[in-house]
Amino acid sequence: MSLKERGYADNVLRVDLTKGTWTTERPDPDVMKLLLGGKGLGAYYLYKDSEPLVDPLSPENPFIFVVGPLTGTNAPTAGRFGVVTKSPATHTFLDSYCGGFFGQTMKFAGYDAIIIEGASRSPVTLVIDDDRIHLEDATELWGMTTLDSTKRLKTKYAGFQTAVIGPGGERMCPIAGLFSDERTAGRGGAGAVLGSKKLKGVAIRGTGSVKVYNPTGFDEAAWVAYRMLRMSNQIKRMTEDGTANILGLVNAAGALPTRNYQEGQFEHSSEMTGEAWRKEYWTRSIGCYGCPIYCSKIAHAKTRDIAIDGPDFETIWAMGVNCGITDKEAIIYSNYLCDLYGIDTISVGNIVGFVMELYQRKMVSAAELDGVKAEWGNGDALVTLTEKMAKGEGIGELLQKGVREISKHFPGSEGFAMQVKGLEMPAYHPNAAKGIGLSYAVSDRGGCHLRGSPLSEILGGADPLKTDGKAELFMTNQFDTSIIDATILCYFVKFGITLKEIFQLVNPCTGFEYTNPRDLERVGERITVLTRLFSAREGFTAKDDILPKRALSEPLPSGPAKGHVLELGPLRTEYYHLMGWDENGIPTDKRLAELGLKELLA
Amino acid sequence: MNINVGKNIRMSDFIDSKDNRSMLLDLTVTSSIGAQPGTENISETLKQYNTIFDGIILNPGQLEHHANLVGGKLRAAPLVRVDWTNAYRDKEFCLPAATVKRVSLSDGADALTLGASAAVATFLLGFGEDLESENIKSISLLARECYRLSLPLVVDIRPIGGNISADNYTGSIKLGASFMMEAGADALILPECEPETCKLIGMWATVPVIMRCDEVPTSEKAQRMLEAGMTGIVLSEKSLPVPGFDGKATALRSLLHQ
Amino acid sequence: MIISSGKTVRLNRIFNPNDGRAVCVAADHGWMSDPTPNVLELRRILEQVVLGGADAVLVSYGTALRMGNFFHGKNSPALLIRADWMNMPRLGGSNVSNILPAVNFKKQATSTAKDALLVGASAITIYYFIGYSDEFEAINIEQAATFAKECRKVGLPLIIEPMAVGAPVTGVNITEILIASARIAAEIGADALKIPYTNDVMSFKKLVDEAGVPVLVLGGAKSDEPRDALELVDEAIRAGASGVVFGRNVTKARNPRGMVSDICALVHGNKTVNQILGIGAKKRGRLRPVAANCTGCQMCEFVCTHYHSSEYGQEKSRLRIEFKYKPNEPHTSKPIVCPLCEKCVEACKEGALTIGAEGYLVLEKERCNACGDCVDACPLHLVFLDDDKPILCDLCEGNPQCILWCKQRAIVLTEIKESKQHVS
Repeated sequence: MSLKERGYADNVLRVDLTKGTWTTERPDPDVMKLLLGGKGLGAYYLYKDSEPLVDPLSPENPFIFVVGPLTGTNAPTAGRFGVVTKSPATHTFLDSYCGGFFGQTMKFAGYDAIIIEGASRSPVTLVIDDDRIHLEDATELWGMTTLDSTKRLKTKYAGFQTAVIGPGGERMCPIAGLFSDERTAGRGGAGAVLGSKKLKGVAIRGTGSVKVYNPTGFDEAAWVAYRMLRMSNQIKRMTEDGTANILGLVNAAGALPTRNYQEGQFEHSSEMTGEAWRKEYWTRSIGCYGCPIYCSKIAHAKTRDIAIDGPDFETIWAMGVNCGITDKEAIIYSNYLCDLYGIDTISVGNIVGFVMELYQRKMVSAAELDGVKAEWGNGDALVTLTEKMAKGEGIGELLQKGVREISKHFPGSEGFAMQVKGLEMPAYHPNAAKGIGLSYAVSDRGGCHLRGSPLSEILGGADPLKTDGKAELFMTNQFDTSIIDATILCYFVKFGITLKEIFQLVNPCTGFEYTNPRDLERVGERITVLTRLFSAREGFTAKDDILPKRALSEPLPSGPAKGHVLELGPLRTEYYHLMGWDENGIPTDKRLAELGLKELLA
Repeated sequence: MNINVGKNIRMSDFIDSKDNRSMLLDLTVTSSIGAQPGTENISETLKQYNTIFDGIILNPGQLEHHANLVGGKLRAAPLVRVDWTNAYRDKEFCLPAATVKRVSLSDGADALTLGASAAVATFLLGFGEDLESENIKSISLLARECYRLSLPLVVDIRPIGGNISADNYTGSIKLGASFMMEAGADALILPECEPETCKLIGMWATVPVIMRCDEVPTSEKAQRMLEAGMTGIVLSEKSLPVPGFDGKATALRSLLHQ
Repeated sequence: MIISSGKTVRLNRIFNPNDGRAVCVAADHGWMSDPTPNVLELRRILEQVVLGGADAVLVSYGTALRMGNFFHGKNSPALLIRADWMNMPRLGGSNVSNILPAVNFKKQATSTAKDALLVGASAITIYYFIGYSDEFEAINIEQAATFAKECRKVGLPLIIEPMAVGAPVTGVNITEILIASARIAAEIGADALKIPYTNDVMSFKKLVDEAGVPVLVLGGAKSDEPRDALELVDEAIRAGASGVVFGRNVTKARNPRGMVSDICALVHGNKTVNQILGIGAKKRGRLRPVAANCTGCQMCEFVCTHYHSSEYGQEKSRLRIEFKYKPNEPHTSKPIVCPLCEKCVEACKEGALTIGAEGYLVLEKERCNACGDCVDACPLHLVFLDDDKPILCDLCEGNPQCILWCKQRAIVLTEIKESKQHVS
């Protein structure tokens, strides 16, 4: 039975931007069974198709759009897509996911993956109408904001879905993302890679459908999954108060990084919770394709005529708490600027927090910051610095490069440049949550909370300050997350369903007959190891699986985690051991053979 | 005059007073790791085997709910497991134990209320000094309570911790047996060990010593155990799901009580 | 012959002697989580619960003292007392909006079996948390064993509530953990269990079989859709459960009395969920969009497509979500659904389209000549030709899938009382 009857499109599109040509090919069913699709398929092509040590911003770095076997089906949140490439921010493997309506459209158009190779000489847009494909000149769109270019494309191509980059991506800045309507594949600089290829965006329409192996079994599993999401308290909270519903809990655990991670609790946290935002700002919710959660909340600014999708928890933290800011208007406007110019709000907030600490320590002056008084809590400073980064103007030209690059200009600041491998860290303090701290150090794409961080440890699942069992906890979470990203579902389904329910969907969808959820977990491990192999080939080893000094040797001054640092060394050793990797963090031949990766990559 | 009539009467419920032999079945690992093959339906298991064995070790809840299937002249006498441990949760179990714990499930008075002929306590070895000292304390308290209540105390010696190796395994059994004799046990259950060790312990232990087996021993093997001074055999739940168990167990019974 | 008369008599008060089943309501939430409306209005809710015919009600010791009147009389519910306390709802894991969030998991034994017996309880209920940490589980086991001993002594039934909670609990192990924990609780001395559903009938049957004591399924967090809770009860009963202990799905329901009697109909009356919800008894009605509720997720489009074609997609949907893009604002959306205006019926010269006796559009394929007049006639552009036959909304033959799946109720069914005279 062909992959077409197993949830897949059974088709991969390869576009060569240098030559302006394209071909299609059929994916290998054996690869699909081993790696499932989505992240797994993207990792496979990236590993096989790219040479080691290429410049991520060169034509030699492939850029891959992926969907999974569940994409476009009636499974909950099955409209997402992912992008896989070598990250210009970290030079590691990069995968980033995006909601909205692009993913299911790509599947309905008939593609499991779209691999973009080479680079165009002048700006282009890729237009895909089912199997009709063309590249069209995008000179007019080049320089436009994400909103304007999306509008232009959607006007010209009614009924199409789009994914575009903004001026940030065009400038190839490592904090630039890819935007589909208001949704973003934000982290790790995917937008910059497209900018380097002069690909402004993709417009796509799909009129096809998806077939699954066993529709009756699949429908039952889908109904159970939706029912469990409807019966989950955590999902309900996310529906009511958005992702920021957890802000109070993270703060209570003393794990809410405040003023560039100098503290773990914010004295004004109650003003920043989802509840506070709901009462003051949020007017309605929007849902991605097939989503019963609809965590997206729409905020209308009071002092400007704009409304945004957001801010979400991470943005509220990054631009708010991490900068000591409670000025919601400033946060909304900064978020808006990031969306418009196509850059990542987490990195921007982390950068502004870092600049504010430089300013606090008098390592930088207002004059050096184009006159901005970067004081904690100064909303105007946030807006101005964001704008400079968004446009790459003035000091923004340096700031847009991320905290690792900035800190090189300020000797002595490396210890509080809160990044891992060049990716700015997110909203959980590594000193106050040991499993999460470990995950930052070794995750596929640097300082990220969505690549297996055991968030449950600060949500009541375990004592966050203990290290016992945390390596294993992170490991299983990493495998679970890899499966979510391979199928591709939304990360948030984790708050209502487990790998068991995903297993119950995957089997009737693909007919691959994984024996039990543990069997599917092995697929997750295989994907995790494959991404590790990619980064290892790029030269990454244990010495790179490290956190800044603040996490390792500056005890938190207050809160429930007072006095705590992250005991990274032993945790990392334990993790490598559990994974069957050597002490340098490289997967051993033995483990690769057990996972079938040796054969696959031979 | 026998000073402890109660203990002797109860002990004779599961150790035959004529031949001083005993054949027991232990169904209590389920409190740690849930139902095991052969014990999915406890009342079926009891109905099937309650006339083959002299005694069956049950957890308190099962004894309470299935009291009508044990005891009396024709059926196996109930012995109650008075503690719980997660020590049996290895990598095969859905939730492997990271820190081994042992807590009390029942006590002498409760065991008598339940109608048990003996209390069976677990002595875990090789898990470090914290667990060991707690274990010693609780068994000592229990021994004194059991003495007052005239309830036999059987101690199950389990050298299964991470500190146990091939080198110190036999020694640990001896150490465990010695400690438990000192604590006041009325009978011991030993893990499988060499006939010399059995013989040695059998010689200086003045109480019945019963050997734990995970499969029904062959008649030669059983014979060797008896010759080494063992009072009998306790079969674990692992022996149940083996084809021909009934026949083998019946044969073992005939051998023990010739 | 039964010797332990205390436990037997009291269990008989909880479980209906005719079918051995019980419908219990848990109303102990005020003891462990925020004073939400279901806590503050407990007295009013309990009145409803009693009228609904609950067999037993689980409350805290204090509530039993204050509201003992609900348990007077032979036909009143049996009193179950929550004999311990914990802070799980205030941990992030259950993520309720907390007045005072907690970080680490704690549990205490708060009543003794004897205390509970003296206030007239028919059983006590206690937690058994497994999965958080070995230390925490050991504390749970020790407390449960103490309660078990006390209960045996005084002849009071013990209901243990195993819960697989904690970061190490994953999709890989959760079902196995629940199955094992049910048996472990029985080994310790539970006379009945209150336990979460494993979300599939097969594994829950294994759980029930291996536990060997009566199993009552719990409801967990409340769904806005009463159907969800009823389905869960139905599946659990099919798996061999002896009944339910439902809390928030009853106490937070718009109509607690109705919810209890619906559950009783499932548990004691052998009714099906569809019978209770009146599904299958086809209602005449027309679809009505509620644009303000629409999030634009398009679930209605894909369930519509799937119901009619068994494929997964949105192209062949008989309704659509229309998006509006305003400058500087994320999109808004609204459902465009067939209002049964009958323009297509009027336009069909062949008489192939009619409003059937059951009140929805019926196409007589033999009479249809694929002229496309109905397509042109539809003012909302919802009718289209596929494979030379018009595709149009047939209300899923009286059970509209869009309504069943739309959680936010952006499409509702307006019932038509009188059957309308229609042109043919």
